[in-house]
Amino acid sequence: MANTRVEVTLSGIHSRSENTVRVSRDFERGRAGAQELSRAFRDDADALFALQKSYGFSKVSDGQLRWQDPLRPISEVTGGLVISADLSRWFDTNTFYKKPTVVGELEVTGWDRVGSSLIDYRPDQTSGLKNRIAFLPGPYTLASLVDDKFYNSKNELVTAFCKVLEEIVSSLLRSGVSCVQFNEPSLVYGEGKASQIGSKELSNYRRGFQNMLSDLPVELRLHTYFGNSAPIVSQLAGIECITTLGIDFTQTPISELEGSSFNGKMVGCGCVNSRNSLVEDPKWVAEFAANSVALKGASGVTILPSSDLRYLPRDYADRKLKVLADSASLLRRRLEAVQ
Amino acid sequence: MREGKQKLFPVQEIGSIAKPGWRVKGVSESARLGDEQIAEAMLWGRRLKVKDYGKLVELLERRSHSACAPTLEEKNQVREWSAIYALRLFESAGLDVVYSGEQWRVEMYEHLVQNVEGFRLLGSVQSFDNKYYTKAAVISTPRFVHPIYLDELKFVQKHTSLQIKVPITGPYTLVEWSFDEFYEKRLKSRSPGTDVQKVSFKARREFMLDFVGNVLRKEVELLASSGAKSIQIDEPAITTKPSEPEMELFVEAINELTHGIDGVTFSLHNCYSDYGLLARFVPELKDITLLSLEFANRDSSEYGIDAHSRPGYSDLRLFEDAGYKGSYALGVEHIHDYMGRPGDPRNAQGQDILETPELVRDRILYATKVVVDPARIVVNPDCGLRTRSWDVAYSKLLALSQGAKLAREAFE
Repeated sequence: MANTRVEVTLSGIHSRSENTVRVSRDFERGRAGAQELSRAFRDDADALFALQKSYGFSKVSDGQLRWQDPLRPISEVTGGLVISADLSRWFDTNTFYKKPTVVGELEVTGWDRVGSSLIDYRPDQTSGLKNRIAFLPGPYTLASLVDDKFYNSKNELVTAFCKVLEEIVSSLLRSGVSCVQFNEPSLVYGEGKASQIGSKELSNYRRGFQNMLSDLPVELRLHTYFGNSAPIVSQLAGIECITTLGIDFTQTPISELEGSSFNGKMVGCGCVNSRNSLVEDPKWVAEFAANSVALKGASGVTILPSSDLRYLPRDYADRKLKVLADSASLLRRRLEAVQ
Repeated sequence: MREGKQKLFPVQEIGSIAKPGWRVKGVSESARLGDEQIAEAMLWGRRLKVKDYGKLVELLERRSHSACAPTLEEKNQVREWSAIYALRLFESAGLDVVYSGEQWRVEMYEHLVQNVEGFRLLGSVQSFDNKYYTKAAVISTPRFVHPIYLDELKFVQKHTSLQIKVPITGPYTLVEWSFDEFYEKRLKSRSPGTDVQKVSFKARREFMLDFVGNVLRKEVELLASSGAKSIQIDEPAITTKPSEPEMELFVEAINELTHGIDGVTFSLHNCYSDYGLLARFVPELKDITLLSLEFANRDSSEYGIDAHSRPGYSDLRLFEDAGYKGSYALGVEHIHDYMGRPGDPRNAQGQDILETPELVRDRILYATKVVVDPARIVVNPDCGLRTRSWDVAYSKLLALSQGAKLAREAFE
């Protein structure tokens, strides 16, 4: 048990600080310039780096604070996509995104130009921190949330997005990212316990993911949230190139995973609720994570927020980071004691 | 709303309009009023023929020279003047049903939670892009401590002779936009190990029904006993969680809020939602007789009263087919930034689209083809015009009342 890996990371886009909120509002109203806004984002990212560093996070992120929604940067750098002016609801949250429409063949046209400005690499802040993690929407979620007027089927679209993501991940690698987590809420979102993805679609998804992404020298993770992952956990854990499979335990009863296998993957234990301000007790989180690492086929655990922490005010999002770190320390001590 | 039976297509605003610069800085502890804000107050005072607006200008000028923060009395005076300005704006634009433009409220959610026991404001959360809203958490059973909307109603009653509609924030939206640091925790402590989703839903139901029973119903009773004849329940969050149990909960909460309140017409406002889902449950809302919905956002800006020209209004059929028998407060004007659609940027000026009276007319006339009885149509913008400048809002409201007049003429 002492060799069981215990890690801590974010799950996606972090919450903007009240200062960034203020400056970005001023920017919209013409009372602040682009430079001031950029400085606010950099300061914000620096503070977040420092926090993760002080808490001993296994992999660190800039929080992708500049991202206006989880699809936007991908939409902006992908030819064949047109971004709508109208707003669409982001799953069952009170946040919105601009839905892209597929009007032609998808190809990355400007990630190095645009994308690099959307992730704060900040070598001064990350020196000594080799492990950079980035969060991207997964191919199934992208295919589910766009309005497709070009491809003949969703399967074709998923495959096309896999190619797009392969290029984007290659670009991120060149910029120093060593781990990419694909977030796939669309795989599990919906009413009831039934999987939202058919078995043929799931097979295609696994194949596309494997073929397009497995050759990259980068650690790949998959996180499912906003729904119950139990019906498809074993199939997803069968994707060879991923090291970690994340579960939103605010939506998935752990008892329903007893028959599933993690197939040697780490469990991404999303038991810290990113959509409620009630701050969890680290002891409870450590206990929950211990139970998750005992699931069949689990090789370790990454304790993470159930989804992006952008649904909380910054102060509360940061408090949850401390809970993640404290619970990981408790769990490590507990596993060492077992040995 | 149907009180004005003799007049077809009565015109109203949904609730909020932008707060003028002098209103914002006039109550601010730190911001200093400048010439620009004072000029704005003078301009609109003259334009809307606001009686004694010079007194407001005097107040603002005095404040602009003061190094001290405004007193509570000064803040109240500024808020009162801004409500009067809003009333005059609506009256001048030819509206039939008016209110204060919600000038007394910070914002529809924050105003409510700040005036009720049991909540703590936590901070800002992104809505989209660089837009945010303040979120609170429920930390104990919500309790009524003092009237929330009553003073505003009394003030409006004193300052207009037109029909009044009071917008209030609905219980479903209040719960959906709040964090829960109380109910779920209490339920988990009572029955540990219960299915997480079941606990979460049960907690939401307890929270919502407590809020209705302890707070909102008391407020509605007060409004009714103080002469409110028309109350609009604002529920933008209704279909956020698109499941049957959630919709049934919404219906239960609204029926609980409105039952047995005599002498009041209740309307429900919702926008940018899944109307296919909403339509199935609307007929179960026992006391809702007016349904206020956004449609212009879904429509083209081509002229015409055929289905092809009016794609945004096809969803009216969902409600008709579901058996809804009440009236519609029809959204006939766009309220957000307008970026245009392919081949469709008619009358777009920057990020505003200024609908013509003829376009408003065509939207109304098409709707009458769907709902058959023209007396079932009230007209308004899609939602509150708070995102538009006063210039743009005024132009839109003028076009709204002129468009309704054209529609009336077409019928007559």
